[in-house]
Amino acid sequence: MKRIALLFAAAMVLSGCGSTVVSSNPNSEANLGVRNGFESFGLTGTDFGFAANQAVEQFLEDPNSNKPSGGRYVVALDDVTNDTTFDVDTRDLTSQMKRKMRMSGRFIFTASVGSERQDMIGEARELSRSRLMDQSTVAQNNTVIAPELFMYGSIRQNTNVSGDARKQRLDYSFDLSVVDIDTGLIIFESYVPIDKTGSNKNFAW
Amino acid sequence: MPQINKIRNKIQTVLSVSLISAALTGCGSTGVKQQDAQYLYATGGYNAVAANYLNDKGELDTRGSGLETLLVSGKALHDSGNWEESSKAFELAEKELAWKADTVDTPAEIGKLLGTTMTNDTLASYNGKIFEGVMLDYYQALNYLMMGDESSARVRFNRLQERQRNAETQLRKYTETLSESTDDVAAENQEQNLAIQKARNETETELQKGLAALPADIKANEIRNPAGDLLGAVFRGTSASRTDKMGGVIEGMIDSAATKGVSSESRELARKLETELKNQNTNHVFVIFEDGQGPSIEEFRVDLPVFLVSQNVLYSGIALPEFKPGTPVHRLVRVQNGAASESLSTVSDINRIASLEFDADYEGKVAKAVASSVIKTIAQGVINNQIDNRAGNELLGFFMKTAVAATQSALTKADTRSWYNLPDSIRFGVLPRSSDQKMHLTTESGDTIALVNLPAGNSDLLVYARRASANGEVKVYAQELPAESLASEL
Repeated sequence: MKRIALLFAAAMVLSGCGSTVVSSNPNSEANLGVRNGFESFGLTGTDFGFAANQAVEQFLEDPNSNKPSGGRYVVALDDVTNDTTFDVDTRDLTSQMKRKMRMSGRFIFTASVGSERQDMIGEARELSRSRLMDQSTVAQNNTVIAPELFMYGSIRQNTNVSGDARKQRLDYSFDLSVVDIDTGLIIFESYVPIDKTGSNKNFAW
Repeated sequence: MPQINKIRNKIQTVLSVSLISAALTGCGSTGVKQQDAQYLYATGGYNAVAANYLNDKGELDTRGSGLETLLVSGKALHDSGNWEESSKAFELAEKELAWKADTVDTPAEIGKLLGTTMTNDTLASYNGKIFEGVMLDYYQALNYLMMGDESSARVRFNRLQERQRNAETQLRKYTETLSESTDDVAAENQEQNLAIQKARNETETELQKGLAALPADIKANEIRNPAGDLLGAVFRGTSASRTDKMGGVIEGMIDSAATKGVSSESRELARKLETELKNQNTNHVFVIFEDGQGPSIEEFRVDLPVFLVSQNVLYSGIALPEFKPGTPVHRLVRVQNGAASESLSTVSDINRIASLEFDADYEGKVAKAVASSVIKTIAQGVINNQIDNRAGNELLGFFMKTAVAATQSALTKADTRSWYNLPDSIRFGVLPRSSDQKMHLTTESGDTIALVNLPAGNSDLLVYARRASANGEVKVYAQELPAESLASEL
């Protein structure tokens, strides 16, 4: 019974400690000193905000992000894959990135192709056959601007367990690459890691 | 008058004990449901089995169900092609299968271990098995693939990989934990320890009956499900995402299946699949065939010699789980599409996967069951001595002793809960997709298992077939890869 009592006491202590997740994201509530701030193994809005900021900063630091002929690059957003163990909507990342990139004045995104392709661009041109429409207001053919670059990437996750099996660390990485469509070359990339450490009691998802 | 009241009180006591006994007998019983479901499978009613878990609107209805029912319902719905409701059932089951380290370090776990030692395991909620977590993620990945949701399928394949990696460690810790909890029970006092040891010595051969049907030469790493690795590789190799092909993930999955496969044929298949996935010029048909009904657990009883504990007891039995191997339907399955033909390879033997864990914790369960029975039988002897001293009526005393024995008998139960509607084995094959849409699945002797028309097209295709029993129907589904819309039933 003594052994069980000791186990019980240890369990009380451990169960109190085990629920804490520590994040490497400097903007996490806990790292900003928010009392009882929320943190989880999964990716939070704060994580997506941090990753988007970091990725765009890395892009902008690269000299290749300046269009040699001046003006703005037309970019198509391609596949950004969620390769984690959590159901994540990658638009939580890409929508913030697109906004920041557009605000930099160096990029503009197209909705004519890629993962954000809008059928309306084609459908609106079919109105040229409609007798209902004022044909001078119908979008013309040969006006859609083709992309010069496309962006793709993934959110990946590796799980590592400590030697005593008490802790697990989820290593997230936000990997994004921008490809020059003319040459096929990757002209700039970003890599943003976020680690989360906590109890190994349960699977993190 | 006082004499009548005395007799009335005693009768009430007898009735109370009997009612408790009857109530306890009902707790945790799953045998009837299990047999019913197996009968329905045997007669080929995938939809009939699945209907048990749906309401009038065709939505999942497993309110208040425990983990075992959620797992069984998830698979039943999966078998019937109801991928969405199946995924909902598995989603609920997953919440209860999140445990990973399996160490005794929470008050609830300690309480549960103590509680079930004195009663029986079926009175505690079902925690599931390690391999069941692996199978759950496998079927969830397949569910989403068949729904045409690649993003969700990828998440489930990733979870499966993490579970597979963790499974061996978890199995070891689970075994250690059981062993430690058994030591705690056995250490209560010297008299009990002696009786427990005697009981073991007298009945050791009978106690090992539960292991008699286990497959031979099982290795710890077989707790992985190689079909999950191979299907994961197929998924990444054919998905719409270019990043799925990067980073050597596919090669890692193939390597795992190739090095840990159950047979040389499955290891060869893994290497063949690796070659085929690299061959971008040919489109393929990937065939998964789930054969037969998987293993289950039944209860058997062993009577401990009563003289070991006390002469004044009527019941001193213990109940233990017995591994019942699954029932295969076909020894061999051949598949033909156009000119290409080949035998499917058995890549996952569910008997081996499930038996590994059963084997690991069996000794702990035997020790716990014997210790528990000895403690309860000693208590029964004490109560019966009191009845002899106070009943004053031989017949009434006999009734009371019978009630006490019945209570102990009712409390003596083996935990037979398991995910009993898994297949016996999972077979896999890959062949070039022909312009001839006919696909023929045959037995070793050429008898038709299924003859189906594949959908027109020339992309990669996943064909998923299930046959639970020799007389039952065969379900065949097809999904174009990359998976972008709902799979069709052929």
